[in-house]
Amino acid sequence: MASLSRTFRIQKRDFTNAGNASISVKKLLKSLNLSACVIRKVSICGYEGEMNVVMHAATDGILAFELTEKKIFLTVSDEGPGIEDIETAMQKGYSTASDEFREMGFGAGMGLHNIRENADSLHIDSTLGAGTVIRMEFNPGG
Amino acid sequence: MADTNTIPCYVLVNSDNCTGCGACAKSCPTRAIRIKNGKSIHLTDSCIGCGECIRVCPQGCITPAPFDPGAFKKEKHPVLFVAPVLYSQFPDARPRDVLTGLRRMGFQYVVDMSYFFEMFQWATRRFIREKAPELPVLSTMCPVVMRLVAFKYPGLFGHLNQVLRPVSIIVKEAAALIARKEGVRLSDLSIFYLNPCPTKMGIKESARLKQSPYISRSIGINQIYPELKKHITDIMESDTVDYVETGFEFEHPPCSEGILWSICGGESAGLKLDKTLAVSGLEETMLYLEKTELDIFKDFSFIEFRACREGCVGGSLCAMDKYVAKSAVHKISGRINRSKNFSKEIKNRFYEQKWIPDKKTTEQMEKIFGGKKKPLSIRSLTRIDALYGKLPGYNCSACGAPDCYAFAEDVIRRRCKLADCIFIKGGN
Ligand SMILES: Nc1ncnc2c1ncn2[C@@H]1O[C@H](COP(=O)(O)OP(=O)(O)OP(=O)(O)O)[C@@H](O)[C@H]1O
Ligand SMILES: [Mg+2]
Repeated sequence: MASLSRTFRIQKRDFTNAGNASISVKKLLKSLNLSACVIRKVSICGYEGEMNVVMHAATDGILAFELTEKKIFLTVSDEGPGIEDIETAMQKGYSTASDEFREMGFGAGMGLHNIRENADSLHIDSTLGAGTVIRMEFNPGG
Repeated sequence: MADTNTIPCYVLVNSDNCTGCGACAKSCPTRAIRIKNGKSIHLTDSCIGCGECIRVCPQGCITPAPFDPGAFKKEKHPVLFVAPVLYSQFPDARPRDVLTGLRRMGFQYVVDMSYFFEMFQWATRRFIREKAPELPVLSTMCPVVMRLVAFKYPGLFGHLNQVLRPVSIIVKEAAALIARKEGVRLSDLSIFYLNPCPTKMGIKESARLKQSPYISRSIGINQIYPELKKHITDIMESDTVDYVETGFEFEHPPCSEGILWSICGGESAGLKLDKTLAVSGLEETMLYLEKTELDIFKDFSFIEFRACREGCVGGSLCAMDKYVAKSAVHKISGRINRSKNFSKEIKNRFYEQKWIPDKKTTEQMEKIFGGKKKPLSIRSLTRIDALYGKLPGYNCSACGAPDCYAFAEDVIRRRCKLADCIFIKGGN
């Protein structure tokens, strides 16, 4: 089956280039006959995942994108520090972002919530000290 | 002139002087240009009329769709619509001298559009504050940005300012008034626009304007600059000539706020809203549209985009350096008496009750602002990606495409052969 995959590096604390991986994914998707709604869902989830690595991760991370005829996969991973309690982290408004990041307009505690709202399927694996992997799936048909 | 590319498009290439250097192809934001047989050609379904190729061509062989700028002199009732950027081209003249100069050139009526721009600004402010639209609201003033949104960011249609664009009412209102005053039919008027950019000069666009009762044509500022400059110098040297209003409502010389519209930031500053952005230049515009799509600016109420750097003063048909023009804008605007600004009553006249919201659907917008490339199937995109992986990635453009990715796409779309790549052909 036809499939296309790309991986993008995400640099921790690099706010200037943050969003570039999601923008590249968005560009690829736009050349296809997909609804604006699907493209928007994927891009927003990619961006939130990317931003979490930039803000919260202790290491650089990776955004992996895979497109098949049936599904779009996005995976964002980093190697620490991990999320202590995923359910709490998912709650609207929960954030451990520093004041510095809040001043920059981040840290509303909406990222993971937005991802849950927009991804058709979501799996988060996180181990304290080892890192976080967020797996998202989307249906190209809507 | 040799054979020119005659397919509808906003610009023309004079093949005689084209050396096939590829500068235009590399500059094109929609990848609409290829070099074939050593000459530049345009893929017309993708041209958005931004004018980057005109700017970068070292041979000067790319021009806006041609038009004889003196043609208005043969018309019986030539009416000219002037964008405020014109004043920036004459730093020492008063706006009224510029308008008088245009009349001396032979335009029967000269209408300054900034009057409507201010009304529009007023309506936009109220629209954002009272109608809770999707934020950020995006400016609809730059036609290149509109086409860019249609072409690359259709997901942002819902963010476009829904107050009807002023150009849409201004011509209708003013033309009706003039026709009545002259006792002629609308079709007896010849409407001209004086423009800083090629974006309104395309064949595509004029086809669309055919439905209106009058023919309308665009003139580039640089096309009439020398003649106008002469008249203005004469006017400034003689102190007996003064601006005489012919008693026609829309003849006001501009207010200080209107003058600022020609530089990026002028539109948003006048809105007097809390959080706004003003972004200019094609590359930055595209980057910030991308970011807007990611919801990064949802706390901002308005974003002004201008495809030309610094705004309309950076248009490729301006006669004056953009930074010199920008400084002139501040000078002229500062000189204008603020007490002469329009009152709220005047500003409200067209927009107050009715708002005239622009209720166009996404489909209608796409039809007007146009072109979208045929979407690829997932299979084709996968094939492009696989082919791209085999290309050298030097983006050398020897194949005629602006970069390796565009080449891979051309091959899969059957616009060219794989052997056009000198590296593939050479067996590397
Ligand atoms: N990759 C990660 N590594 C470690 N902790 C994370 C990671 N992603 C999220 N978290 C934790 O989960 C919390 C909630 O994340 P979420 O994205 O919902 O909000 P936020 O990033 O703090 O704020 P916002 O996304 O609204 O800017 C974060 O504050 C952080 O403590
Ligand atoms: Mg987050």
